[in-house]
Amino acid sequence: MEAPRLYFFRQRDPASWDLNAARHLLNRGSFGGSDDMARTLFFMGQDGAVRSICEGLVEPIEIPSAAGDNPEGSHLGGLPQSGHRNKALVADELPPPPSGYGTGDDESESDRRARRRMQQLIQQQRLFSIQLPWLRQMQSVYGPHEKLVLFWHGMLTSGFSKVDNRPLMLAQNARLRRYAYGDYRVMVNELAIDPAMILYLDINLNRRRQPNENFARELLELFTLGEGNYDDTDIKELARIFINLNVDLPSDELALDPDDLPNIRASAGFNDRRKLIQRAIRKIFENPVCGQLLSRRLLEYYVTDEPESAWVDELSQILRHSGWNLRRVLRILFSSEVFYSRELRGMQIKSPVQFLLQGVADLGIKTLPESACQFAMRELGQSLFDPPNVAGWPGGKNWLNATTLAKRYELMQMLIDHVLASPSVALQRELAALPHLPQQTLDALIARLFPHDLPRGKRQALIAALPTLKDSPKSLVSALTLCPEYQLC
Amino acid sequence: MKTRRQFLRSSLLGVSTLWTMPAFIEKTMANLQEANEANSATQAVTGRDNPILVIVQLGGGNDGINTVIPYGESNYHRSRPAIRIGENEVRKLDDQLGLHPSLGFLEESFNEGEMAIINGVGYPNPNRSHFRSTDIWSIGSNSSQPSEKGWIGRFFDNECPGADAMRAVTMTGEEPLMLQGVGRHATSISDLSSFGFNGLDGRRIEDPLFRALQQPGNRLNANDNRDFVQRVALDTLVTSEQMGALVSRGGAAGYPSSGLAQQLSRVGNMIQAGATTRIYYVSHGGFDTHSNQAGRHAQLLQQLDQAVSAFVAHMKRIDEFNRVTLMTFSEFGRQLRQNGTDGTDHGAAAPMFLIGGGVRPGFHSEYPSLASKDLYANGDLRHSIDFRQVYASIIEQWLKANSRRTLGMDFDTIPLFA
Repeated sequence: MEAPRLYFFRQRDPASWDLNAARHLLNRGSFGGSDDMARTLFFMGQDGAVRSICEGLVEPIEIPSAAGDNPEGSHLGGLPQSGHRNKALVADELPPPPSGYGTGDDESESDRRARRRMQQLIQQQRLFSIQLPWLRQMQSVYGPHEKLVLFWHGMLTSGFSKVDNRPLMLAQNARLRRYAYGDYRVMVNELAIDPAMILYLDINLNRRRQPNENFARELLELFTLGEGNYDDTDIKELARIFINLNVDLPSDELALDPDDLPNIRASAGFNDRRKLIQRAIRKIFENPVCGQLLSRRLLEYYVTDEPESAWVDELSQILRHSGWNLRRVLRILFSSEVFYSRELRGMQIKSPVQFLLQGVADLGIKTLPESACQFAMRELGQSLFDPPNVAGWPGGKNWLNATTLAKRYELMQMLIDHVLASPSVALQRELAALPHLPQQTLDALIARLFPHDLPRGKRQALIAALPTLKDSPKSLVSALTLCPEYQLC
Repeated sequence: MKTRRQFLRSSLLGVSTLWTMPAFIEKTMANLQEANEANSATQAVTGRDNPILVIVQLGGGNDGINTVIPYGESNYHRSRPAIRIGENEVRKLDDQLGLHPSLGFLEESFNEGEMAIINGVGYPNPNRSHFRSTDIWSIGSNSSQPSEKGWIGRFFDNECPGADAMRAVTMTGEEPLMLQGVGRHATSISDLSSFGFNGLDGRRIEDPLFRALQQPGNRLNANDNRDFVQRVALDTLVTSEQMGALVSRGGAAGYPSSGLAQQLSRVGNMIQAGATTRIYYVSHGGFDTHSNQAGRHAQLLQQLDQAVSAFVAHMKRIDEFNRVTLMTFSEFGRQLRQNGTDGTDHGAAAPMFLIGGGVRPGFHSEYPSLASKDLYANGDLRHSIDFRQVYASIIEQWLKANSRRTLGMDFDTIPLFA
């Protein structure tokens, strides 16, 4: 295949690399980070910085040996790759419900409510026990890798509410992590035989006589071709390949060994079936339209919620030409004119996870406060491992409305309170080191927290309020993060 | 007639005295109005013009047979010697069926073409436990998994997956299963006081600095995300004030004092205030009439009738009747035969009411046969329509969405809306 001529995604002049560009790359390619991180990327130069981000790291630190011999580079902080049992899974069990909570019809209304509340609490607790380690991993130096894993989690998704099994959700997460930077075709093949996916998209309910086309439809609509590029016959043919696949699950999820996940049972031998599936997926990828969907999703995730179709076309060609290799595609994307264009910088609405982690980075918090994470997961509309439906999170403008904006303000207040309660946090020191003239302090903070200058009216209002704010760093930082502009990155 | 949007605009611009707008918001709104495109963007965000569904739960199992009364059937009178409603008392709707004497307003609504009665609603293998059957109605299936979500919750999960806890509002104190989804879509009215912005450092939202920061520093006309976040902030500021006012204001005028009427008055207030909420959930309990049913049932139905009457009058007064549908449901009906204590025991199929400017009026589906051979062994009515067909019809025709995505399978719909 002839190499596509790059137009929109031609390389941006490396000579124009500056600290702002480095910060943009850090925000979009990862979840933001400290000034030190931004400076590190700046000193690396455009090429080196992009390379570093596409290694999945923002700091050149030693890679743990477990991942060292894996060419697709996987790093295991709190999350298991396929490896050891996750502590989170065993340490957090709630006590069993008090005896006497029956399920019979004769229990009283208040017993029933108490039982339901208890069940909900247990479910929330179980879910959070796998959310928190992932958030911690995102906040680590592996941020860029995790940002990509989160992308895949939104596109090739499964949800805890339906799967109801943490080891399987974590195993899927590990799969997404392992293949994140690799060949997209391999990723789709792997997800098609992923136990959590089998449960989430009803593959296990797909029978010859009673076909369930759920997975076949989503494979075409959401994973590969996109709506309108296949017909009902395609779905029916595809669904036939996935019949009678099942997962053997122990009744207790804790009995599952993440090293040795349950077998997938196929009616006619799993290896034969796998070949059939691979052949079918290969055929899907031969469709020239394949690649458009992934390109669009990548642009929406990393660049802008309204990508131009010419960009989608060009990126799709790049994708195909790269052998569907995500690392190569991301390198081109993160070096491109489009990615750094003035009109798009600082114009993305932060996702809830981005908002949380960037806020934490902006405030210099080193250890994620658990209660704030719990609040963010429950209230902001992006509960990790539990997307609203098979299409993942719609993102963009959908993140923000009167409810969620107010909750985001509340979250920032929680984080700022946390900072004040722990005087060791960097923000305190940095604020102390800032130029003492209040107006300069203000401008330094604005430059650090916002991708653009604030509108003049707001800056004036802040300057006017400085006499009352200057003795309280909390009030000044609060005021800044309560500007609607802080929702952008 | 003014559309919802025009109404909102005029009220925001101070024509309506309902809310006293701070001057700067007024100015911003005026700016917004000039920039037509910008305005439509706000509308797309807030969805203030969408149809509304008010769900009225009749808790305890309403006796459907004494609500929509088959007075033309001799087996009705024979089976309920002590609690039957005589032919001369029934509010006759046709030569076979009539309403309970307490339901004067509903009779009027029916005759004026503003009410639909769906007869014989139920489901196969009816469960006679209050809790289990309420769960079945809430979920829309007989699944008993603890992780099951309610059909309204799933509707929002599928149709508007971003989080907005104002999409559904319950007046019942706690979030009913019906509204629970994977995402958070529902708020209880008791939480409304904490809804929205808190201001800066725990100070109130009147704080001038906080307000200045929520105000656009320049004109909103780029229609990009910078303008978008600014609009959401303004919207939140306005809504926060309205909700605060709502909570302190109490019920609107003209509502009776019953619990149901007070719940509906808050629904009415929120609609009048331009809340973006699509689903409201209210509850009217006490229908478990095992003994001495007659007086109690008459009183409960009268409270229902008067509360709905006040609500409908309110909606008509503010020109919102066409945007609102009120739906009643109960976990089950009651048995045809009265029991030994002049009451009735848990039964199966029962009628549902739909009231609103958009409904297709009249009777829908057949009243279940009262002939002994057609009853369940214990004397229960068999359903003539599945409640999920009603849900599917409401989703398709009123909420304008694909019902399969929410209900998990296809149900035959019936034309419930004009």
